[in-house]
Amino acid sequence: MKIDITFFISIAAIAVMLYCLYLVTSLKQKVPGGIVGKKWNFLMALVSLFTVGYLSTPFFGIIPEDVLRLIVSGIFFFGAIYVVITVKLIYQIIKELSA
Amino acid sequence: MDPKKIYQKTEKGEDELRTRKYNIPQNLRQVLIFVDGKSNIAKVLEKASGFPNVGQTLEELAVQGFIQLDETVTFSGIKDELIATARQTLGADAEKVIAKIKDAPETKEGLQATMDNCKKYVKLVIDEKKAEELIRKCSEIMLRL
Repeated sequence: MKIDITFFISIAAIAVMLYCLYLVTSLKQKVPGGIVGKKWNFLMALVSLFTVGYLSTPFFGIIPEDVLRLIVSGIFFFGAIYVVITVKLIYQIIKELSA
Repeated sequence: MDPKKIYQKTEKGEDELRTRKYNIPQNLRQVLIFVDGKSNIAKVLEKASGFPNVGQTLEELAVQGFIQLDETVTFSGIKDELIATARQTLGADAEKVIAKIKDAPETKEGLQATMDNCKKYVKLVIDEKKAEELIRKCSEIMLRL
């Protein structure tokens, strides 16, 4: 494992993602259901997936290239889904609050 | 006559229904049966829509002392009922809604705004169906204001 600037950025990214995982799981208790609650379970699953993906970043140097490409494209794909869900959720909240 | 007010039977009214002691006309007796101490005047008029001049009959019953307006309807009483309804509908998730109702201003508009706010909150973070159920039950209670 090469210790360089990329390594430190990866560690920082993992730390942020772990904090994000803590936030979504602790907020879940306050959002048992409803419009937000339904989406929240899916967001929690995605954040868990990202955490696993991010945890693999320090090992990118030893992972075969085709597996690496699969991991990165998978993270990009689910990242896009995460963004769509978040934007739609914000849209629904604004719609509900302005009704 | 304020359609949101509630009439309740007096002791004399209860007596009449049980014993026919005062021998009131049939039309007054029929309307007296509809006065249950829970339904507001609008509701009684709706229930007794098959009978003529129900509004006038209610006033006559009141004048003769068979029914009287329930003056116990207070904001505090209404809030207690709303809280009980929230607890019954939402169970353990009711705490935030209960706090909002407790803090609601004691005006009809203020309480209405709080309940609208509660509906949005429940719909967003608790349960959409329970939000509809809660607001339906609470609207019935607030009709008495």
